[in-house]
Amino acid sequence: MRGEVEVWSGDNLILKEANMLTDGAGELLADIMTVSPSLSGIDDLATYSLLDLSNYTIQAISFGTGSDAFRTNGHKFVDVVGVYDAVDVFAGTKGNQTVLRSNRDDEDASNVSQPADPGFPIAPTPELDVLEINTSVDALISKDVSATIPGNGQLTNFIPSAIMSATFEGTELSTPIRYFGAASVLGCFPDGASADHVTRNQVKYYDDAGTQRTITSVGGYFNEVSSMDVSGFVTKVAGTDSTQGLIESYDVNLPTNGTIEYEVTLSKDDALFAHAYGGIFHLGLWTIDMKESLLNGNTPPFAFSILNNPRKYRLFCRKGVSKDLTYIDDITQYEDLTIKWRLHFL
Amino acid sequence: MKNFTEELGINGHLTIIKKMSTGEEEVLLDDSNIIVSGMGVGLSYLFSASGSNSVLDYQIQKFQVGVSGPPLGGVTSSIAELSGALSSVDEYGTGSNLALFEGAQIVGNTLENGRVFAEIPASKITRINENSVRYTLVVDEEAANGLQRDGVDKGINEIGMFMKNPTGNAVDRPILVCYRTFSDIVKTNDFSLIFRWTINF
Repeated sequence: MRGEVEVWSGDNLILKEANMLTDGAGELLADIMTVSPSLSGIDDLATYSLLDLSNYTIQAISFGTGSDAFRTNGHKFVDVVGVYDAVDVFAGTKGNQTVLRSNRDDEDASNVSQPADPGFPIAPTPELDVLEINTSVDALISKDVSATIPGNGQLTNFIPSAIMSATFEGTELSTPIRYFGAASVLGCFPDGASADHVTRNQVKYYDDAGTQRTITSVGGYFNEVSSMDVSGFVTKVAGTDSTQGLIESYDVNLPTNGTIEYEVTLSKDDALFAHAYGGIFHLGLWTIDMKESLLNGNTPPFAFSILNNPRKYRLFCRKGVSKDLTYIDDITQYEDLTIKWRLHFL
Repeated sequence: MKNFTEELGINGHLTIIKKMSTGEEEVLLDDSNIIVSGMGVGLSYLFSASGSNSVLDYQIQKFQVGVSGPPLGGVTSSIAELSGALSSVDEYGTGSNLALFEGAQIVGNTLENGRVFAEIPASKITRINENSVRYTLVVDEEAANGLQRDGVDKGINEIGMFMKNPTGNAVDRPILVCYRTFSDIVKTNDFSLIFRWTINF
């Protein structure tokens, strides 16, 4: 098999299936085989950095959901029920509050299934270079949010205050009353535990009795260590702690077993928030897209950044599932979600 | 269980052209080849970043021809070396235009020293579409003529291409990544052989 994906909720294995390599993988190998050797003779950091291996290996993972989910659930702007409390934010009393609700289109309080059905995610094909198509939100916060931030095919990361304020600066959504709301509908991962306003990251839901409840985040892993950029790419990090980002491992038998494992862990609140924004139906491993990175005016080495990331990515392999990986019967009982992705080269 | 290169669909196509000194050309072979396990080994080093840190070392940059194909066990993806690769500069031809390299070859878990390889110039490596690369290997008129084994004239009947140096050793240590056998071609200085090899990644 090309590779296999395991997903663990706490100690429980909830998925183990093969993945799909994309056309991007073949394009990457063709790129590698045709890099000009003459670059090595040029005494210029930006030039010979083009030859650095890190530009050609797996560097990020991202998560996606079905297209319909980007117009409902946490992505839906519902002012009056707490997705975004304009008055409080405007008054400046709630700082970077981004209150979420796993809101249902039918607003049927007796139906506790969360989130609302995101529809069928697109069938994975090798030709696709994004996880999902048609992923712009449909929200008007004085201005059309999607006109400023069009969908990029995956769950994005606008909630942290540093990201939202910087991202919307100079746009039509630059006032707090707008960018808090815009960040709220764009989602999708909570602040880190040490952020001042982490307790204001909340998901609201209805219990069996139809009573609205609130789950307050204690913090996500990715935003605690700034390992996820605004576009939703979790970068590869050194070390063995998969709560810090995407880690890579292999054993001493690599030349004979050809197996490399990539691992990342979402905190229970990362999983809850992903669920609130429509769940996880797609996973993707990404390499750097050298051509796009250069065309965007960046020069190597491409250092990861949560804002204006100079790294543009190319989808290398993907995994699609028909059931939300973050689905849980009782959304108060989330555990960390660990993804282990093994590629077999032999 | 299929491996990465099989699932990715990496495959090759080899065309062998006999080009006479008069300019006349004859196609001797036009067929697919196999990708061998060395490709997976090299890609393992690449994606784990446990070998060379330069992308250039993972390029297919050398080739060998040989006189003892096909191998006894048949042509399988486990082939790690040619059955009877040309073994000296003299055999490749001191008067040829081939740039030669002599060094250790990775063969399974061992290193085989004293192997001779012909270099593939960068100008002969061409991207032909998003996923395909063409290698044009020229065994010119002065190369690989008068080959013998144990006093018997031999024809060229196998060829392989090598990843340059995936382990990142100070001196290149190539590994076989694709291989093909064909009917004997007794090489003389009346013609050159052009191997047009396309790899689809």
